[in-house]
Amino acid sequence: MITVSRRVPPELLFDSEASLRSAAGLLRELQRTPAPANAMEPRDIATLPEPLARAYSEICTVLDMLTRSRTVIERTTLDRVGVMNEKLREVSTATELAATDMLDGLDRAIGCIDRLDARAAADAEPADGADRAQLREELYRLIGCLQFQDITSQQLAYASTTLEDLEVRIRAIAQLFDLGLLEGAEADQNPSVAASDTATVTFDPAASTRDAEVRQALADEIFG
Amino acid sequence: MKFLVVDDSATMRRIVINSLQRIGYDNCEEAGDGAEALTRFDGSIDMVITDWNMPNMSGLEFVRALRQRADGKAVPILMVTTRSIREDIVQAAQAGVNNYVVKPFTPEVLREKIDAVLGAMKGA
Repeated sequence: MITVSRRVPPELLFDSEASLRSAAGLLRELQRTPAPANAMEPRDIATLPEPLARAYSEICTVLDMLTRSRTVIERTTLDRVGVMNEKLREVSTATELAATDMLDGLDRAIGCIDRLDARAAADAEPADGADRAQLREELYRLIGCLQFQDITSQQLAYASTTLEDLEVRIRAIAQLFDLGLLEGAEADQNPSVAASDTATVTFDPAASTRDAEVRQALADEIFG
Repeated sequence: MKFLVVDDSATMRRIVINSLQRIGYDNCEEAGDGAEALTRFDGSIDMVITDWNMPNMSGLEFVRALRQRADGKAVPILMVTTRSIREDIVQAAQAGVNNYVVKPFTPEVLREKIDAVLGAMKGA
């Protein structure tokens, strides 16, 4: 669902609706006015009846409101989507760096334990070998847990692509309100398809850290 | 035994290599995508472990390309990926993948699949 700023658009919608109601009233008034004898003859703008001129003025006001609405959509929604997109990329980079640092630390810890084991073996101390083995097991498990980085990275990539697609769609909608851009928009009639065709998908949209056993069981079933 | 580990995530490559070391395999080469893996692959590689979703050349494209090569027709290939819908897994099997590990995985699952692939190769 697309949401826009609630500060300005409701006012614009209210004004637009009021103007349209006013224009509709004027048109009804025109319908009630008896047609002149020479109604089929062409007239120039100066001879238009006063209610029609007022209707024209109201329509101009509505168009102005729509233009302002478009500007508000562009400013509030597109800017926000752009910032969010950038933030999502930052999260991906930050988690990658954090995971690398953690891996470095864990590698060093495993090295320490290996050295402790070697020293203990040299001194023939049978003391706490089981504890060390458990500690090593825990450290290896921690390394395995870091797979979250690869999975969340794919999830973020999916979210980012979705936002980019949304941005393209909103731009297309905004262009509909700008008559000057209509000609240029013809080549961009299906922006989402164009965007997905050119992009290389390097993520799994369904990537998940959940139910790995269930999903592995399906793979085992297929591979026998 | 020498492995070629292919994944665009450096973190994931390290996790796979670490898991291999834990289960007793120390000899690994790395590649960041399918295209790089094709250039790194040679007769010295005993098993390939590849991700699916990668830039430049996906894991599936890499498997298909490798199976076209004379030196890559018989090498065991294990796919390690988040993709886990039936159609994807079947597609991987049809492309020439020997076994499939779903992320997140444990070293035990990795060992189990490596053993299964090696066992099947010996039996063939």
